[in-house]
Amino acid sequence: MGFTGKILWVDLTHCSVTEETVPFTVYEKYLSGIGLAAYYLTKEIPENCDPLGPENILGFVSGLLTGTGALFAGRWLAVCKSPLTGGWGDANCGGYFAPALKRCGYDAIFVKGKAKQPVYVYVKNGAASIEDADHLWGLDAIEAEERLIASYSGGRKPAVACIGTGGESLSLISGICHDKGRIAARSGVGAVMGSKKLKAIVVGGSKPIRPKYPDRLKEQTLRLSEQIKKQKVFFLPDRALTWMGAIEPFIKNHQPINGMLTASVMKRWGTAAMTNMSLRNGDAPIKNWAGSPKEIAPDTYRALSPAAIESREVKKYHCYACPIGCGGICEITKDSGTNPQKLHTHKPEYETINSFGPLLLNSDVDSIFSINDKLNRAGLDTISVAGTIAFAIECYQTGLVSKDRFEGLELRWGDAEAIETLCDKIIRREGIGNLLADGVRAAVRNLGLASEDAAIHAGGQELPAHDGRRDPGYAVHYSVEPTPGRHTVGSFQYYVSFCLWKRIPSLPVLGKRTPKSDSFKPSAENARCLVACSAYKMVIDASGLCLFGALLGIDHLDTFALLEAAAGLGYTPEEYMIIGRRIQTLRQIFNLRQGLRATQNRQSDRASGQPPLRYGPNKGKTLRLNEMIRAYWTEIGWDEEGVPTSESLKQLGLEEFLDIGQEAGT
Amino acid sequence: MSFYITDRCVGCTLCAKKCPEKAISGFRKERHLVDPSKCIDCGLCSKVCPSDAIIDGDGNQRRHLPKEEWKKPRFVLSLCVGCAACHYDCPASCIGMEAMNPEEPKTFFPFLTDPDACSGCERCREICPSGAVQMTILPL
Repeated sequence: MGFTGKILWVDLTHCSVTEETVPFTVYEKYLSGIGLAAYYLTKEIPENCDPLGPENILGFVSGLLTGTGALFAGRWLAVCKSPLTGGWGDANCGGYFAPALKRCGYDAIFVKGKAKQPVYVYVKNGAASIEDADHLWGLDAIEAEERLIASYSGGRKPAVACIGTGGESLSLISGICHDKGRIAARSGVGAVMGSKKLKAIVVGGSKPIRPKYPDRLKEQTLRLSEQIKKQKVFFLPDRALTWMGAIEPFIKNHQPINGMLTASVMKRWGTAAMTNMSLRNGDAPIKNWAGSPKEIAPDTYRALSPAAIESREVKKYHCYACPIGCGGICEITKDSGTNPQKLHTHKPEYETINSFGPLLLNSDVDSIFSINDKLNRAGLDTISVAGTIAFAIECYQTGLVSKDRFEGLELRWGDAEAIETLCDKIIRREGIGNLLADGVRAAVRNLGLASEDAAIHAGGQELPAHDGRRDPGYAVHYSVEPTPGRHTVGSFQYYVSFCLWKRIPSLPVLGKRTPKSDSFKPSAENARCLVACSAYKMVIDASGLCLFGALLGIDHLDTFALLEAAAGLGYTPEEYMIIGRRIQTLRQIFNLRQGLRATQNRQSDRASGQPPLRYGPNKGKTLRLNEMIRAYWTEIGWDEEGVPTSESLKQLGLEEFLDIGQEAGT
Repeated sequence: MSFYITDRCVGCTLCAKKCPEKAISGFRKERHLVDPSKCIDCGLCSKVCPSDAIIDGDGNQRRHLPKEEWKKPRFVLSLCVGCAACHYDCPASCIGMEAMNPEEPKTFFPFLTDPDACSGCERCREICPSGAVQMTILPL
């Protein structure tokens, strides 16, 4: 059926674990994964709860397709009320945690309360226990994981999700780590785990999960895996991608990319393929969102090129059931005096490379590998840390903040050594690092309001490395999502790749005939594309699928057919999209009940081109962001304050929340 | 849906000894019981049961099978995409991953690390999205 029918509640205050049977109507209405989380968190978390207090609930959720044999179904989510944004928080991660969790017999584990002493939770095939974690507290995420796996060495290797020192010290930009460097990084989920004194969740399930129609599901996966197997790895040198990026700004219309081409590029380089292309086409923010490619050192392209990253890779890394394997295990040399050690580390992702590269005008690839490893161990979000450092450098350079506050640390753009030193300070919460360890919004409060212009975020979440001035879809999603500042939800580029109109004919077709400049207009049609992205991403997260699978296009990864084969609910693609919209609206309701206004999530003006850039592919572009946000809200059925209207709540079957409009108005 | 022991059980305790999840309990010469919350449907109990006393979750009678007739997985590398689903899902942890194709030196493919530990539960075949697992009787 694809569902296990049960969830597990862990109460750390009372040291108890209980099973709950999930009514089938909940699955019908919200599917599984993020839908289940939205339902339970909205129901159970009290209004205006302290995100780092015992009332907050931290959930670990798998998806409907996890473990059914569907390809790309290896993702899991950590969910909670975010201490960083004050609203809905979720963070997505790969690895092999999701199937190990669902095979315990639970679709999700929800943790509430607060332990007095450090603990970890062990779950296996329908049984759970709370164990002492004193010996693990203070260890970095990789050491803690290794110790835990070693202590269960007798049987099957369990999957571990744990926090590093960042989560322990309640850094609001910390995440939850898994498989030695995969991390559910965003929304500050690590701090919530740390506040509960929960070091780790260890899951070692092996129960079977049966899809409703195994043959139909197999038919889908066989077709896709055959296509991917046949597709040769991208054979051109990485310079080809740089050129593609350089040409792109001159192409007037949308260019649909065959999903299999995406797959072949991802197979070879992973997300690191995008670094140079993004620098050329204006997708990559430079110098804290105020710079242009002109300011980048000429050696950057070669130093951070996909080939330079590839040369350190020793092994491909596949998340569970992934045919592409965009991850990689790389070898780095760690200097420890006279005895340099070779260490294995996860390949840095595009986000990390760009954030610690061009965003800080840094072109030292060694420092990026080293910082990536350090932050993975500490369990901190690389995007947020880099965003905060960019903020600090700008404050230092422009004198927005007195230089005395930096304790003799000289911060210059592109100074790899200084950047790494500041990273260490943030990890250890030492001096200036302590003031920066909770993200840019907290840093503004700590360093003085004069620095506010340099803080680039949406609702407190530091922005990722996709520029809304190139594709305004990103800017809209950064600002309208209940989890602001996310690049993994939608944009016009994603919409073109998803090809949803092939299953849902009422959606607009964006292709070779549609000019890219149209996407800058705050029109209802554009809003429909972006709302469709949001709804589809909710369906993906409810299924436990990977966004990169979805980017291959609906022709290749037919999410709706897979869901039908696994659960057999008898829904049409339109009905699945309504479920997506329902989850999206419920998350918005969650925010409103926590007292967060939708308008508070709008991204910083600089990222919308105010003032506009003077050089580069995005020069002179200013977004009409407020109008675009309004258009999105109207399309999804929210009013001009971003509050879901009573008609849309009735349409979506969320009548129980009809009072939300009045509450938000008061 | 877990396996179930019928009243044909003679209480020989063999299934309880072999069950990898310790899901079977019972006294010698008494009918044994499967704990459904622990059972993972691997079917090892039914293969070793000398009195054919075990039915599976779908109600099918399972028969005793001599060990040399247990089917083990064979991996067809020309179909395999290296997704490692079999590796992570194998309840006996007997599927390893290793670089085997010189054309893709960084991609790891599955192989049977310990044929003796494999109980032939076919989980790998069921989960494989590429149809790259075939169950065969391995030559001794």
